[in-house]
Amino acid sequence: MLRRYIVMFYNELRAAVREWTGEAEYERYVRYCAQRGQAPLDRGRFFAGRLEERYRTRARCC
Amino acid sequence: MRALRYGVWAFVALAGAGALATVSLARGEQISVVWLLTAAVATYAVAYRFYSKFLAARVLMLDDLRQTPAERINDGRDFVPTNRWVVFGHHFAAIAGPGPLIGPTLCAQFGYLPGTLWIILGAVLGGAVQDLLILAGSLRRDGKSLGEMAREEIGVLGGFAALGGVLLIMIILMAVLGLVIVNALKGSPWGTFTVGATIPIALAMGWYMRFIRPGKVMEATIWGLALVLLAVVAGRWVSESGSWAPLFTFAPTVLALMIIVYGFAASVLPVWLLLAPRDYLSAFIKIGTIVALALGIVVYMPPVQLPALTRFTDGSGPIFAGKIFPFAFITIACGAISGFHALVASGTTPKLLGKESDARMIGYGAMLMESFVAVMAIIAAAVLQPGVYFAVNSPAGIVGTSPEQATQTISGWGFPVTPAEMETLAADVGERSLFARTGGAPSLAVGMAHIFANTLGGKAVMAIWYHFAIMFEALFILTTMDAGTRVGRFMLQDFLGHLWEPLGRTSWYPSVILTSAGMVGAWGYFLYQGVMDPLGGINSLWPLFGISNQLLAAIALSVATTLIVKSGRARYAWVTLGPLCWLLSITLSAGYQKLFSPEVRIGFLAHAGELQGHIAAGEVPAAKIPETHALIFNDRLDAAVTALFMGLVLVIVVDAVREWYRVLSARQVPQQRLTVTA
Repeated sequence: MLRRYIVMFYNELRAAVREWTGEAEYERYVRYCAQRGQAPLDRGRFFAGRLEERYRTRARCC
Repeated sequence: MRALRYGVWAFVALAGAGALATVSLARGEQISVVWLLTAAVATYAVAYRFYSKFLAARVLMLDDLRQTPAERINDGRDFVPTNRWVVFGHHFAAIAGPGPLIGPTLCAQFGYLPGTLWIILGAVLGGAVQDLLILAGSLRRDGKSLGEMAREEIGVLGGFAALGGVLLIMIILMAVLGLVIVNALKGSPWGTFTVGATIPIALAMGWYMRFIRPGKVMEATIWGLALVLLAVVAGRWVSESGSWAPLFTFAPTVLALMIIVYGFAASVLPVWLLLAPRDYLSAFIKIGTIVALALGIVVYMPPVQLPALTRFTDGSGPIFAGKIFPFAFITIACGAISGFHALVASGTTPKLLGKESDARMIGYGAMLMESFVAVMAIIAAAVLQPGVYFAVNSPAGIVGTSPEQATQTISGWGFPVTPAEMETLAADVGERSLFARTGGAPSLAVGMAHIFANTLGGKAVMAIWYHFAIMFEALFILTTMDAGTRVGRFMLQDFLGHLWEPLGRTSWYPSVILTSAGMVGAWGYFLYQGVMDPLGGINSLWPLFGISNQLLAAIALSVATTLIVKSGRARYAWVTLGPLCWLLSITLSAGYQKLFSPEVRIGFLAHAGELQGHIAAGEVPAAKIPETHALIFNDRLDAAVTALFMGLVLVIVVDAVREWYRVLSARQVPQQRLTVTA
């Protein structure tokens, strides 16, 4: 029982951290492209492009 | 059940009121930090439970049946409905910069009380209200930015004034943050090595995430963090090495030039190579350290050494000049209310919310969390011996250049400290000297190291904790500077693109280099000016930054009030009008004093006049005349920037009042698009 909760907690935490760091974005992007029949970029180019876009507007507070 | 609930909330409210009363009324005796923590946590709990609920339900009428931009647009990239805890993490990481740590540390010169009260009450009644309202406003306008909302809701003039204000604030912000780093690293081979080592570590992480294991952020961050911690430990070896230590020991001017070159490189290099990996490192270390500091304070429970109020409430403070009103309230911006948050709340965050009601937790809740960080910073300053606190933070131009002079002056103020005590403390933290280490970062690091060492490891590891704290502060200051320079560069390119189209192309390298140089040159000038300032620079730059940040908050609150008025709920406009009036009174009076005060330590023009008088009277040696002319020019430039800020805000406020009058006098039917975007 405890083991199940620990595994569940770990999985949820891992998913949240992947989401937070942007790691999970690529899978979502691939699904999005598949729905529209487009060829996705490879992971490296997608990652670099996303970061360029993100830091174009991302303000960091003082 | 209901009675039990009422009972619990009554208890929390009474505990908060009791703690606030204890914190406020204690005089001449040491109190425990428990009172400060209880006052903060209980006030936040009551404010979140009742006031934010009122704002969400009555003022904003947040409704989960209404689609958010993320639900409606859901493009799989920018607009994505995201778990609210993940958005909370993003939002908090973006709003929590060095401001809530540095501002309270500097403001502690007035004693622990003014800063603590302002941080707690300012956040629940002002800062969190601003963040929530701007977030909700942007949420209902497809994630529009503060500038766009100002232009659409107030007018074109207001919109341009807001954009100009943002650019100017970013320039001053980055200069003052650069100055904090210079003061933390000058003459410190350990600190310089550790902070310097984060650059190749970030570059290696960037390369790894781009080419070796594309997109594997967690993997790179884990080994990156391990290397950064190793660099903290290795710094001791460098500082003790006769051949290595001189290679990492720099004068302030050299450090300033290095930061300027670094800022330029960070702006022109690809984001994935330096900026993003540093941001990942910074975000994890930031959150980890803040949690550790909270635990450390709770476990150690140190007594507060600083008095509730010091003699410097009269305006004669050594760290910065000016009376408690208005200067305490502009010294602490982030932590109580910060206009910069409005940029974050109208940036990425509204594009990720899956439900309208999440805006309450993220807008209001994250600001309370930041306020709590500021309370911890004031605790870290307040647990130091006051004499030590003033010896670290007072510039040599005020207290004297030798340890004997400095300790004599500070002891004369009623805060006893001896050269031997300072020498022992410097040796404990692995520094050569802690005198005149202005800027707030070193004294915060000493306070944090004191708390950490008393919780874990004892005095033997105090030096490691001190340099960990310096690395922690420098890391996310540099991240703020990287990101700020880049965003500033894009704003500049956007503007110049209207004059000549190729300059607006963000992929055209001549334009990238030109605008990066322009942005870095602007903040680099103010940074260099601060380094050369005989009073340490913080005296003039931090108030300028505080005024500008609070004026941006005034712009945000004007926009928020306009949204409330236009939505037909003008009867609730007091929620933003109250903080707006308070902010205008503190910023305009502080701005007026910085311009026209006859006291030379406060008024820019008075200081310039005094220097001019010295030259005219022949009291300045010939060799010093060019330097004195430069100081006069800088004073006048600071005065012009202050006047410009004040002018921009008055334009926006007057424009907003005109708009409120137009809406209310016409008794127009509320424009429903203000609450609903179909």
